[in-house]
Amino acid sequence: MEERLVEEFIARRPDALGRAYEQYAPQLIAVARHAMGNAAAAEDCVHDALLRVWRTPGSFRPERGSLRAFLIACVRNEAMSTLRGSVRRDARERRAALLDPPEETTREPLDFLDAERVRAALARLPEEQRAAIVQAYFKNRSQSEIADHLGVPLGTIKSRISLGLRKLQLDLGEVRAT
Amino acid sequence: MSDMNDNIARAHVGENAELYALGLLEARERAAIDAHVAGCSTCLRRVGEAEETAAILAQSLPRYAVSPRLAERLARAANAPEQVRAGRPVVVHLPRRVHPAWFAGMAAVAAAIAITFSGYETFRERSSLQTEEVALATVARSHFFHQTLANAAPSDSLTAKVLYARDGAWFYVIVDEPPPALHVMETVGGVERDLGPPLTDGRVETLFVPNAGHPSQIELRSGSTPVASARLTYAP
Repeated sequence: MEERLVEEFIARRPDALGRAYEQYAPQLIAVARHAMGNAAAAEDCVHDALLRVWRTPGSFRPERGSLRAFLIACVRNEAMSTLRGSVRRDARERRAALLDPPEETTREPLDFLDAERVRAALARLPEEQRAAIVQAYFKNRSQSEIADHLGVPLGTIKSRISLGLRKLQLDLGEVRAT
Repeated sequence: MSDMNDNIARAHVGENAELYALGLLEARERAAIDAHVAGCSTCLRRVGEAEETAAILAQSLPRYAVSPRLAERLARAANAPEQVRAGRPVVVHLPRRVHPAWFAGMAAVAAAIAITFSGYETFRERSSLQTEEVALATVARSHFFHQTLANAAPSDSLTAKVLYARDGAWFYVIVDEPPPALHVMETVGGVERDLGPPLTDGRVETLFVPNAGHPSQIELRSGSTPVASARLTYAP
């Protein structure tokens, strides 16, 4: 089914964008909501990210991987760009937001099994790599913010995140979320 | 920062693949990576693998209700006429008095790109970080090849040129005194696609296409009749 959707998405069939959204909506909305914090902003973020991809032919090729992972990354990048823009416009709001625990911490995850495996895989990482990835992905902090927060140089943060994610990749290699 | 973008564009993406997948890079850095992976299968695979891992991380995020309104918004936007022509999101004009002395033409292109890029820095609000600006930032930092399009018939006298990124990430077509109903075709991975008509500016028509996906051929057609074409070759 995904194979056909991918073909139609690449061929820019008129209904393929809406169908891609419907197919991956839970993940796309979750990624946007996690960064943006509220439903309306998350919806706009997913909308903008998907349209940006749609208007950029050739941005996705099957050799890259799955369409799902690609679109999730696009939404994540859209959300983080928006968040960073907001930070620049009003750093104080951003700091205040960081102090407030996100409301969704008690909600159920998209997938319990994958969530447990992710938790376990993160726990197996060296502490400095785990901390960097948690700050980057789950706390939505920028590289500079992480460097400040952890008190290490920016280049070190980049390396820790890269190494950590590659180790997670090996560890979670068998996990294939639906 | 610009040195970093240049390095990403020329060298392999390295650890930036993982930073990209986690949303940690700035728009210009991402654009440089997009340009690089368009012609580098090794880095494309590394970025794709990082994205797969990030997608697994996403499975641990909280679940929220899905909005059916968004599906409708996307369907409407995707079917809007101006978006169907998705192959030409950016068109850059040349000055009206373009002489087919192509180095002058290329200088004009470079000037247009430089002007646009200098403006880019002052428009970094989210609303302006559209594909167009990102693509132009990439172009401004690129090295490019150029080729004259060969006429389809000896009797044809069309003068056209294509400038294109060494990594195939963008191309720019310039046509002097074009025939009527001219449109541009590109061939990517053996698949031919109609990109529509260039933009007319006096006796010159131009078409700028970012994210071109390493086209192997550019062809101009007048209606359904091929009038000129060029096979694009790239550095090994």
